[in-house]
Amino acid sequence: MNNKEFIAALAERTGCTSREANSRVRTLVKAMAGQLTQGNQVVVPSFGTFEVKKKNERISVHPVTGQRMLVPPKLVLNFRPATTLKEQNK
Amino acid sequence: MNEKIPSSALTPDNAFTAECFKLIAEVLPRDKYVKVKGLGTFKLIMVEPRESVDVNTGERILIRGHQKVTFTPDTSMRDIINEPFSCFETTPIYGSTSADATPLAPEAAWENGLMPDTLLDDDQATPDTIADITEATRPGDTAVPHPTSQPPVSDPSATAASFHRFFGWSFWGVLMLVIMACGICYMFNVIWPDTTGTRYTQLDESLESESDTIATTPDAITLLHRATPIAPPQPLTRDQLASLCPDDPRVTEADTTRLRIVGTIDTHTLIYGETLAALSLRYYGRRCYWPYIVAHNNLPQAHHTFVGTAIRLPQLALRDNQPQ
Repeated sequence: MNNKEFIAALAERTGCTSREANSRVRTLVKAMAGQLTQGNQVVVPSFGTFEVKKKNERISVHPVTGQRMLVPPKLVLNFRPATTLKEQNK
Repeated sequence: MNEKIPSSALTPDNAFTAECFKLIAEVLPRDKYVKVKGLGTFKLIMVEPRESVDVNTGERILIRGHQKVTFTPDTSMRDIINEPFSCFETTPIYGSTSADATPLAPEAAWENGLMPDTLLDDDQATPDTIADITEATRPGDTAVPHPTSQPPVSDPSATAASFHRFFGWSFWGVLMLVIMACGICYMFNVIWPDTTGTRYTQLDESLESESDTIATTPDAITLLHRATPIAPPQPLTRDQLASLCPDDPRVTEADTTRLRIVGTIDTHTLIYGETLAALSLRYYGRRCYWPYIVAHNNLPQAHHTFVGTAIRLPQLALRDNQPQ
């Protein structure tokens, strides 16, 4: 299901227009991003947890040229599915 | 910081938020993926059945194949999250030898402490990811020993390969460099022999012992003449230097070939507005000698000198092949 289909299905369920649903989803995503950039976890009951993890810097070697590269540290968004979601999709 | 925020606290519209994630959870088993613009893509991937060992009993067990929910954040979300570290870039590391730069076999990499790319990732990696990574790096192995618990034994073929690598390009390259350096040293010695007079003094002593026989031949006369010690270079005075350079303001060519530096006459600290050409004019009577000041002070940028720089003023003398 792509974004367009997702917005259409959501609009149908909530009884609003697609444009409205799209704007609400955008607001939700923005709020999530705001909490995550502050270092907080976003917990969605019976769905999962979104959290930010720090990946340390590392040395990587190019397999063809053998050139060693220093890959900088980075922050990545991680999602841990809840047990309910895991069981549902087993 | 580090707080657990429930999704209901994100927006005032709790029902919509709950409906949103409920829809994703419902659609995922059917469509296998759900893409939400700005957030990311949720995917359902198949994990193949695999053998494992029961940690309590030690028996081999078969883990059945199952489906796993994965999440890939959208590029925009990834950039927002990584904004504090966005200033860093991947940089190549130089300065390693060619032997280090060559890609090593996994075994050799373990031995050298240079783990494959993904294994040096972070200390927060879950056991699942580590297992995946090890499988990816060594696809043929079923049981992968941990590097610290069980170091791999180097087999003869690997030793032979490393021996061949050592006596390969790097060895012959170093040998060639040494031979070239020796050749260059020898050439310098032939073209510019020692002019301090020590060699000629030795030659003088040897010639004195054989002076009777040598003095009879014309070649020996020239040899004896050459054998006299060379007089130390006479530093030029301000007037002599001024006479060497034409006193014409239209002449802007700098002198870099006729003179050589034999010492330091003075040290001058630059003040605001002073240039090297002005210093040259003050101490040598002409502007054209500023390149010698640059050379004597090893200035990287002659046109960008700073106030307060201590400038050593060279003492100049004529080169040997220049007319007096």
